[in-house]
Amino acid sequence: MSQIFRAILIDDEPAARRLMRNLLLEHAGLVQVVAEAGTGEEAITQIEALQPDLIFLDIQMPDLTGFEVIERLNHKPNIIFTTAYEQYAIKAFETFSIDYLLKPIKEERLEQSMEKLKRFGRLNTVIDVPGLQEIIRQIQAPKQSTALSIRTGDRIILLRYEQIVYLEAQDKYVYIYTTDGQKHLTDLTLTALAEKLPSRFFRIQKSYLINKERIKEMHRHFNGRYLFIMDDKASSRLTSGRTYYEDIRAEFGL
Amino acid sequence: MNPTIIEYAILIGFCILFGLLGLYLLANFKNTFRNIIGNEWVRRNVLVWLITFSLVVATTPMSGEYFYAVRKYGWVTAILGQMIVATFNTLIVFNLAWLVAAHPFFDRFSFAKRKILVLLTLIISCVGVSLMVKNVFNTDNKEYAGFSILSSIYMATAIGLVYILMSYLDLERKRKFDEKELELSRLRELKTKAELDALHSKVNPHFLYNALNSIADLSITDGKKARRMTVALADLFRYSINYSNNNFSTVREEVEMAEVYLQIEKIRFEDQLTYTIQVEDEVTHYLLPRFVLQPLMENAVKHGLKATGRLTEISLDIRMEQNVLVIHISDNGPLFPDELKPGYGVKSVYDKLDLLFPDNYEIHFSNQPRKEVSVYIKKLMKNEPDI
Repeated sequence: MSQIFRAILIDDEPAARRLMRNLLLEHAGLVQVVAEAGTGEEAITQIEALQPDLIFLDIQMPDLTGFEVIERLNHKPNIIFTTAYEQYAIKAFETFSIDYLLKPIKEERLEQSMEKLKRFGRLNTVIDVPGLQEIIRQIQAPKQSTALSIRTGDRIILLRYEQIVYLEAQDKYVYIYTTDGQKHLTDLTLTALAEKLPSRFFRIQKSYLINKERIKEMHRHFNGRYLFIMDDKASSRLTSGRTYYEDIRAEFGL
Repeated sequence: MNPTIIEYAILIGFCILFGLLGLYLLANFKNTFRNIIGNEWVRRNVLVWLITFSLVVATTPMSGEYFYAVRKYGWVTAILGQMIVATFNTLIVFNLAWLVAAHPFFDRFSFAKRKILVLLTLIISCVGVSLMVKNVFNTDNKEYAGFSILSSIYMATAIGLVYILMSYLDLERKRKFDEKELELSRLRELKTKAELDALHSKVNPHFLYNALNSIADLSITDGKKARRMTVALADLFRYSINYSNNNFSTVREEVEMAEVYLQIEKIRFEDQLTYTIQVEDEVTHYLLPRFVLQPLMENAVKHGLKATGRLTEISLDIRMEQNVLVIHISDNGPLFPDELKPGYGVKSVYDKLDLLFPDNYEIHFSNQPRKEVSVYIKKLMKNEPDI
């Protein structure tokens, strides 16, 4: 008994959808395209409404990624990913998708996919949802943040971490000193910033957080304090707090 | 009457303590009393006096002369004598030697000549001081004057040689340090070059694959568009690949490439996208880092398309405001969030500007009065007409 997979094409580029539609004409006995969607939101609406057996899913779309689309679906169809990004072409796909196709799409490769679909594809599939979500979480590991955004009036300025020399708390505010000798004001507290910033920012005093990679020199000072000379234009000199003595020794292996 | 064994032991212990004190002060010469005595001359003289006195006391058991003085004048006078010797040595010997060692007048001599000069100063002033002290305090035994002079010469030479050895080691260390520094700066320069090379060659490759995928369709469905897109892609990649070691590009070239890029995107998204470009004529010859506009345009397109269901409008505007080049790139997508996470493209813009306009640029992201990225560049360079 031959099955026909009802399919939706999801891609933000009209030409890419058209290409896929044309290529699939060769496989009309297996796949029948019932709809197209140009955005993630549109895709979700269409899939829930039409309950297709198969979707061709682009991963990078401006509004939602392909993964985000899957996560929000109640109806889980068979999936063939289409993407220009090799790094996603990892074995994770094998666990929950039929196949992935790299752009530009090759006809021969599409044929292989169709073979796979014939063998492994099911109408009205049930997908292992928790397993899928776990994989999606891994793939979508948050982008490592590389900069701090500071709002001044209507503007947002990005201070890249390597550019920040140290942060100083004064009253309710925190001043952020950068390598070019400028200082920027933020209303976040030093504690909040310490949590947000990566571990290269190190507390040496109640009101100082310094960038470890911007230390030029470190000297023993009186009373269990250390003097830090920073690698900025002014060679700023910062003294550590006595209560931070042990932390500093441990941090710098002294 | 000779001292007892115990008296000797006490004396030697006492002298060793002084010796240690003197050596400790010598080792910490640069920093001791820094916070207490502000005047450098006073600080050094006080220190040298303490060191000299300590060392003179330390060498007491070796000097028969001292016991002679004790027997003749008593303990207090003998110690007082040591203090006076230390004072003279500090005021005269040390300051003369310091003058020769540090005064800019002597900078004209080579390292070796200058150190020999210091050594001679030490010897002559030591002998002078020793003769003077003998004449003032010890007029009765002239027959020891010869020994006294010899021992002064011996002491001064020893101190002078130690000093020369230390300065030589210091010089060596500095030279090694400078060499390292030089090597580092050379490496840094190489790194800058390599970094720029790496940054240049990266037009987002996925952009290429996606565009080629579109061409695969257009070649059958719309030949004209396919042709336009192929040519535009070729232009863009030629610009990104053939940069012939030039890190800079003119505003004109950068704008041309931004437009080529936008044309490609416009074909890809089939008129879901429009753009306007406004560039003041007088700015077109200024130099920008190569490939600094395209990543910003790409970012704007990505943001603009996020607001689905309406036409995405991108605008690029470049002008001069009070000697600062101002580039505004706006899109009508969703507003910038408070927490911006720069992607690869934006980061590469920062990197290129960091390398070529360090400290002379700013990038602002604003949502009011319109959503835009603004780049301000100071200290611009103009393209030479013949390049």
